[in-house]
Amino acid sequence: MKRKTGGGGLIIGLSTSNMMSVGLAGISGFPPSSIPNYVYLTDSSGVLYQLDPTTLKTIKTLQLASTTVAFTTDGTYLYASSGNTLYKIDQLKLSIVASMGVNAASNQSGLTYNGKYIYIGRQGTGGDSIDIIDPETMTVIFSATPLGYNWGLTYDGNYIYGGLGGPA
Amino acid sequence: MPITVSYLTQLSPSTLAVINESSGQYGAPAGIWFLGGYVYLATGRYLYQFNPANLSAVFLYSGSSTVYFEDVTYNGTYLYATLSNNTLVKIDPTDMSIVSVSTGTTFSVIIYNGKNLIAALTNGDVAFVDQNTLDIISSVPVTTNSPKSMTVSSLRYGVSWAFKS
Repeated sequence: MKRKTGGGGLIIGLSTSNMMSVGLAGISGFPPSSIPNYVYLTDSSGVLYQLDPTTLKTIKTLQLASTTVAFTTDGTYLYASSGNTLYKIDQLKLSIVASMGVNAASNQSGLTYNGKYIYIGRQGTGGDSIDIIDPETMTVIFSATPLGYNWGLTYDGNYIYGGLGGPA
Repeated sequence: MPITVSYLTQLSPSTLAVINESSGQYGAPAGIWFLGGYVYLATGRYLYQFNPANLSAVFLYSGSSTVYFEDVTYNGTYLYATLSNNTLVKIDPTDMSIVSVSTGTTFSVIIYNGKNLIAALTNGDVAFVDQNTLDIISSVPVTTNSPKSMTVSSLRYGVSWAFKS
């Protein structure tokens, strides 16, 4: 069954028979984390808060350059894109382990992890790209411009998904 | 220049080559999530649920042309989404229907940590939220600034660009 949406997209009816449940461990093959299941919150002043998951009280805070727009984690480190910087943060100590600068003319707009690499999307006058980053060295090892501006990334265990586009 | 058109694109993790892309065009994404076997794309007034096998989609309309989806999480049964009018909605992902809508609390961003539904409120408090009624169970003050984004240590998938505008 096909029907037109109010949003202008062509929407195809979806069978839900193959729906599966994926727990918060999320994707098979990812090692379990030894880090307590902290809650992390950022605010408009660029402060990152580490919260106790049972009381929600603040344990530690860390000032970043600006508001974090995206998070991902490898189970040990938290990766946060904030302003023109990608931070690698020790989840337990809430301390910056490493950071890398990104093109100041492009906004970071997507961040995900596939068990081996960090993927970061960028868009703006400095260029539109998705970069693959080695989290050990915090260096870009591959870059591509698949279809235009990137607006978000995620990973399903097999593929990377990006919202890509541009002006109508 | 404002972004007004986007596609959901499935990419190779090794080459970033395009494997598949959605047939529809959508508004500028506010967030992308992989939750419960589906890829979710929030684009303004619509929350799309994509089947990764073929990128076909069903959607949920916010109910108003001025109300936007902002943040989404999943507890294994229901989706919970915060909207730009600071309400929290509980969504049945099997048919993308709204089960219930919060009243009386202004929600900012939301996360499920494997046990509890946790929300940052617009006043800077962080709260445990009843997963059935959407009522606040308890809350503590955390910041005097506006909450923007939230995650937990246990998440293994990327949550992208999902923050309070």
